[in-house]
Amino acid sequence: MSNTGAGNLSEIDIHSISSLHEAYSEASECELTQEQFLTLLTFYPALLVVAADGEIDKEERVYVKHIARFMANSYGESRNYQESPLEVQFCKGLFFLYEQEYAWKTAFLQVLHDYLQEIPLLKENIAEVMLMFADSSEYISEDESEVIKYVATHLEIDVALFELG
Amino acid sequence: MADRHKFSMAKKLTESKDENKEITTVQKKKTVRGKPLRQNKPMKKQRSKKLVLDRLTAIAIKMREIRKKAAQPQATSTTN
Repeated sequence: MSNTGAGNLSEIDIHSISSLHEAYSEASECELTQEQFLTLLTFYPALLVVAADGEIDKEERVYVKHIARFMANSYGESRNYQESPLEVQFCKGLFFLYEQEYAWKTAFLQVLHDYLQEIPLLKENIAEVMLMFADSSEYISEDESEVIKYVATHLEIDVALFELG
Repeated sequence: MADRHKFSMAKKLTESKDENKEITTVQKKKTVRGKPLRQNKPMKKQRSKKLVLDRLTAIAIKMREIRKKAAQPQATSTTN
């Protein structure tokens, strides 16, 4: 993974959704509304699980496209096997985040953490989505398990929700 | 007496045959019932891609609704 582009955001003080949205839109050239960006933000942990082993192979690339698809579907953008413009934007945004993981990870998790303090109900859903992606292969790998625990700790999600043992 | 004995033996044999028949029938039934069980091997963890996408879409929609509800009473929230 490269660490170029937007610089290391862990050193940049981004604590609000609007600031992160603005910075991210500028860097990624993704055209997402703030509402759509919030969807991306809340599903960011799923991307981390898919890329748990440090790279996205051909199969995992399909998973990333799945994330983009169901995020777009939640806006009624399903087009029966055809990519909708929103799905394309989400896909572009996710691959950007994957490529620039080191630059954006801290900021995304920090803002998501703060957001979840306001809406803790979302934690359970985030946990479920992470598990579904980790569980989509034959078993949950050690890498995936580590990422889930790491994200859970950062977001203050009860690890018991994951039943990882 | 010998005839009665013969009759009795014959009856027993018939009954015994009938019993065997019944047993055979029951066994056959078991076998017939057993077949589909044997065919139903423990399912491999294999989810339909569509089902997973549907579930994930449902979660995404649910999360949007939760977000909307949370945003309503505090429209002027400083979060954004």
